[in-house]
Amino acid sequence: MIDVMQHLPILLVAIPILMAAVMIMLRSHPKLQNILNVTVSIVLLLMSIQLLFHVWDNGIQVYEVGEWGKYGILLVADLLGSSMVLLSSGISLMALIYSLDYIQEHSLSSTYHSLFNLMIAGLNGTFLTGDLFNMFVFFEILLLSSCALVVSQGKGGHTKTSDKMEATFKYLILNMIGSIVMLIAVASLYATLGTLNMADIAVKISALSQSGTLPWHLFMIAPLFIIVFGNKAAIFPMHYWLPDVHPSAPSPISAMLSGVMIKVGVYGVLRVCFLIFPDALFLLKPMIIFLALATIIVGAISAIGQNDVKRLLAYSSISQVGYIFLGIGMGTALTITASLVYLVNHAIAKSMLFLTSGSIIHHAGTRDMTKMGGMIQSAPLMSSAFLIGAMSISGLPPMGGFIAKFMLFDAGILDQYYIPVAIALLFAVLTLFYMFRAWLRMFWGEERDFVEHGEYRAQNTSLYVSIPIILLAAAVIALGLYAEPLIVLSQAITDQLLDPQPYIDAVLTRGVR
Amino acid sequence: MDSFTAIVIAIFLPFVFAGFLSPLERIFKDKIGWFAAAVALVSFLLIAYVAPDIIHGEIIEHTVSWVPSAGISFSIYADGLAIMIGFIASGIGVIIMSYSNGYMSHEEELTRYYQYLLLFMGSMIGMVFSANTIQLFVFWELTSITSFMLIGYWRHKPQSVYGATKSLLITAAGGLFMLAGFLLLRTITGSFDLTAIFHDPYMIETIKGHDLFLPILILLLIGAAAKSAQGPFYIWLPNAMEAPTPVSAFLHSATMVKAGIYLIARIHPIFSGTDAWFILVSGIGISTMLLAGFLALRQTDIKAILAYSTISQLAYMMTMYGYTTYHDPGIGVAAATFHLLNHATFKACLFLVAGIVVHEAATRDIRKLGGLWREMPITFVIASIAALAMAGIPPLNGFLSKEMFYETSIEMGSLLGSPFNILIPALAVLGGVFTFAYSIKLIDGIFLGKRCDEHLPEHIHDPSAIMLIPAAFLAGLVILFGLVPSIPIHYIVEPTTSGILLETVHLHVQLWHGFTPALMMTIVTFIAGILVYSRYDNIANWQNRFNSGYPWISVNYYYDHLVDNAKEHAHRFALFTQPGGIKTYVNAMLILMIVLMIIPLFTVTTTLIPSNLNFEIPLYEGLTMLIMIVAALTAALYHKYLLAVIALSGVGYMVSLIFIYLKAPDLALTQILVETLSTIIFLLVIVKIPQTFRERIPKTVLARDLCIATAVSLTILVLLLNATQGIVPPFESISHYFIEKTLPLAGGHNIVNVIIVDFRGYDTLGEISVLCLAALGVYNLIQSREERE
Repeated sequence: MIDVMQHLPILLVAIPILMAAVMIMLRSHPKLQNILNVTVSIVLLLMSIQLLFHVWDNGIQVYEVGEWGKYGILLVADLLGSSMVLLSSGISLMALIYSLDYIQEHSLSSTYHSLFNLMIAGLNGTFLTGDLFNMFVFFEILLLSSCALVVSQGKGGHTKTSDKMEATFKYLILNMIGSIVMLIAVASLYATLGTLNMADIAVKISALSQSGTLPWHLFMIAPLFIIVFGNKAAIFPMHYWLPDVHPSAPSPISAMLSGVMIKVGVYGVLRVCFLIFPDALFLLKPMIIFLALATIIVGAISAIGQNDVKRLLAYSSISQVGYIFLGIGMGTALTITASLVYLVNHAIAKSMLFLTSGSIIHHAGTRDMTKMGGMIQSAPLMSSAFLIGAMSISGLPPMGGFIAKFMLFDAGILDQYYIPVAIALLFAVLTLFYMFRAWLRMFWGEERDFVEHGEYRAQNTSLYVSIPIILLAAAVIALGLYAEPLIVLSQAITDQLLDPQPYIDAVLTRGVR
Repeated sequence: MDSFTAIVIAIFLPFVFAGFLSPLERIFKDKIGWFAAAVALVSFLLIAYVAPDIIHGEIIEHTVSWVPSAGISFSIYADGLAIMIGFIASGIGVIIMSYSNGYMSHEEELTRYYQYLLLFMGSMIGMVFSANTIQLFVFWELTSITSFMLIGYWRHKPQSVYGATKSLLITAAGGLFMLAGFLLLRTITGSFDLTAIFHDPYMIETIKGHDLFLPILILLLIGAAAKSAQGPFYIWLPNAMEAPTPVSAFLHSATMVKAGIYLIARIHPIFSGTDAWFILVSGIGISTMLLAGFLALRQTDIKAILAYSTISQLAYMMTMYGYTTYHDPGIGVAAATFHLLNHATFKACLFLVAGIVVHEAATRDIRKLGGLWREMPITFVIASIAALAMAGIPPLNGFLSKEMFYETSIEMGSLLGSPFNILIPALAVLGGVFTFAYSIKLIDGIFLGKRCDEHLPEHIHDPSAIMLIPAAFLAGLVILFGLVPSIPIHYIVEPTTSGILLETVHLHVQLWHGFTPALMMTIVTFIAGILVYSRYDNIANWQNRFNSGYPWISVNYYYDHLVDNAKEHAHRFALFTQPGGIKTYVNAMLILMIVLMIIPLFTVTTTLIPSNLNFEIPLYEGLTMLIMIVAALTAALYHKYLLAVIALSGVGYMVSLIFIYLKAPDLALTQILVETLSTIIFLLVIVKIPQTFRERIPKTVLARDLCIATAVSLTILVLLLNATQGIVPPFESISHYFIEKTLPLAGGHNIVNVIIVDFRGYDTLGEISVLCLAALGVYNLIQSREERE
């Protein structure tokens, strides 16, 4: 048993990669594929729960791939990493179950399961790696797997392949530039410090800074990571790919992209900026605050102008990520805790909203909200789910989003960031406006008749579709009514972030062969 | 059962049963409303169970831990104020839910209706008993949301949706400002606990002297005004009348709109006794009172008249709570509290009457109504009692609280001195005059005068007892409170006033109190009121003319403009910031990169470029570089794909040459392989597409792109020049480890190979996955293309 615990980090990456290969071989047995993949996802979820508990009880876990110490690649499971793994495992299980009914059978049995597993491997690998270049490699996996998954078709085919291609093209180009920037940054660091291990880099930089010999170009490298991770998280002005990509993906993939994938960028900033560049934070924080506010503003205003429900949700994701970055930019223990709480709540609520919007689109046969109306009669489940999500995103009690916004504003005000909080507050009002307007537009008003163009009506919403939505909605409410465990966890994560010494010790005080 | 448990059950019982209402509907069927009323009655009785202690001057406080790490607890604070609004919420709740059994037809979705009513009632009770600001905010927003749901109860009607949206936007957003106010308040006090402030006079002084005093007060007042439809935020309440009439009676006259007034009363001990409090609270109050009273004269819909009248009456309370001086902070508190109670009785009663009239006569238009007193005598009597109470006619309860309003106005005016000793009483009388006029209009327009036969059904009669008794009960209260004021004063107003002023208060209110200045003002009010009523139509017409002449002098005009055009403007904004072409996006990203990288240049650096650069360059290296530059330029400038591709691969081959110079033969080999393969693939693809790509690039665009490209290259160049200065001492490269250990530990002679397959084999696994992914992705793409065809 002890052995399995030790190997959890690598298993969380290796199993999905292995499954990707197995799924290709099982192409002719779609049923078996479905069962196997859901089982594996459940196992991964259980393992990630186990990992988080293990890390919580026993401190940071380090796994040496090939036992080369800091000269090879290390996997490090600290509270941040393992919590992110848990979050992504939970949401991906929901998205996977939803996919079984939503994705076209043809696409589902041929490549979908493999790609999905590789995406999970990419996510877990990114969250668990302790090596900067290895993170780059897993970023590539994430990028390509998400590109490929965006192209796969949902039933009904409400998005033209040409639109998907256009979106994917932009996504690829902009992220390739991001990759190059990351490569330049990693290479420059390696050339200066001679190591790729993040803990090692951190130790060396802090030693240099204490002796006053920190080369100034490290201050040029630090902002490059904001470009890299900001691009992944779609903060202004690097958000342009998101409103095209998230809507054109099939809904379970939109849920993954908006729920988890953009959080990879947040994770990156937290990991790299706070572990490696604590000395450059005085430069980075104002940059992040400024970009975060611009992101909130641009995302929220653009969201108001949308008729397409998924595009509205996509712009809303941009704006909400701005809130998360605002907390990070303010950079105190309180605000980072608030940001983490915000991150989790947004991940759950937004993925639930995207799953819901998928069913809504099937139900109405269109993505255009102006052509919808009165669906509360025919799709009561979707109506309640969307309302719960909308309330959470707008920060209304008793949903999880309220606790998140409350904590963020509270922390910001306590740390006397009055103007950023005022701007954030004003745009929270706009959030309320666009989320509720969307809900009203779709569910209230004259009931429309969708029989002629809808694929199926609400009566035959399958369990595959409704169960994930119900579970996620329940989580949104639960996090609003009793947020204590999440807040305690976030506080512990923040402590680890602000004091990286335990992380460094866990990594570097290991014998090298 | 202790008092705390009783209050908690009173709060959450409605929530629990709201959840169980759907299954219970199978048992109760049409009678579900009676069940809901019973739940409300239990809540009422539980509050009544607690009330005696409070009336005797006790205060119940209890705290349960909720989310301690965020500093939030669930805590109860029961004083006179909480008990009074709790009584009103649950008591009127019982009345409304009983009445609804007659009002709502059985075809309606009754479960949903009563669910929201119960949820609202629970939230309202929860709010008034909250001891901390966050809990108060949570229940506050819940009342906003349930109100939104109830206004939009008939959700297929566009006006309902409009009214519901408006109310949600204004009240819920106002709530967010209030939250900000609470958060700021916490920075002074250190906790969200309100009771801690009440117990600590020193803390109250600290708050009053703090820099943030005014911002906090303004934020809280925005919340209160938005909720209670005061100042410019009044606009949502008239549109909220789209709700079923019992809902209007319950939420939009008796309870929910009182939440803002409740907030004012709750924070009164903290903020009153300052100029800011008087100017802001009374200022908003007086202006709203006059404006809403005046606008009420123009309305033709009975519910609209009642809505404007509610706004105006709430403004009375605002005004009175605002009366304050440093020495006597609570001049108007008792009067305001009494009026709050009285207004709940007579206004809810009037709404119920309006519901009866709509139910029986099928119209709410006062122009189409008239002469109904013969057919509906009981309704007529009830309506007259309530309306006359609103007009302030003795011996009804409205007369008493209006007298108190006048008294306190005189007192406040005289304390301020000239010209306020005339101005404030005069404005108060003017407010009373409008109230008198529209109150009379309600009786006259509906029940007296000529019956408009063409608009009305042939047979109109008094409704069933289910609808009549609740209204009659309220009318009875109106008379009772008027004739025997000591009952409400002693049991409700005194404890409440004591709760607000944080000291024991004894009041003496009598129906006949001699020829006081206040009575003179009342008489003036009646005379002027009759005069205004005689010119009622002229005033309404003048308002209509003014409104059509100057449509832009109206808050609604701006609200509608803002909300209706929001989507278009935002859409234009979205198109402007996101035009669609990839080039803009790349530029934006690169410009951001340059800016972020240049900032450290100004803040941190001393030397831009390292001093010890080596400018000696062997001829062959120089030549290779030169070829690279030429090839790169060719690739960028040439218009034919074939040549561009070959030039690009030329750059790649030259890079591999440099690798060879740098003694990295395996790297060079890999580079050559990659270059060759990609060139072949490129060539295979471009034979299928047009051979030239001639796009017109305007000179300005070209110049811009050139600038960006140059700037990017220069910043990266500066970075790389510094980075390639070698590993900073005292650190050294990890390559010595690889050199030493490759053979003994990994058993390989080729270090690069060992790094790839062993030291960093995990990376290689990742890269292999990337290749598989690319293959799968292309396969996926081809498949989905086939499906389309």
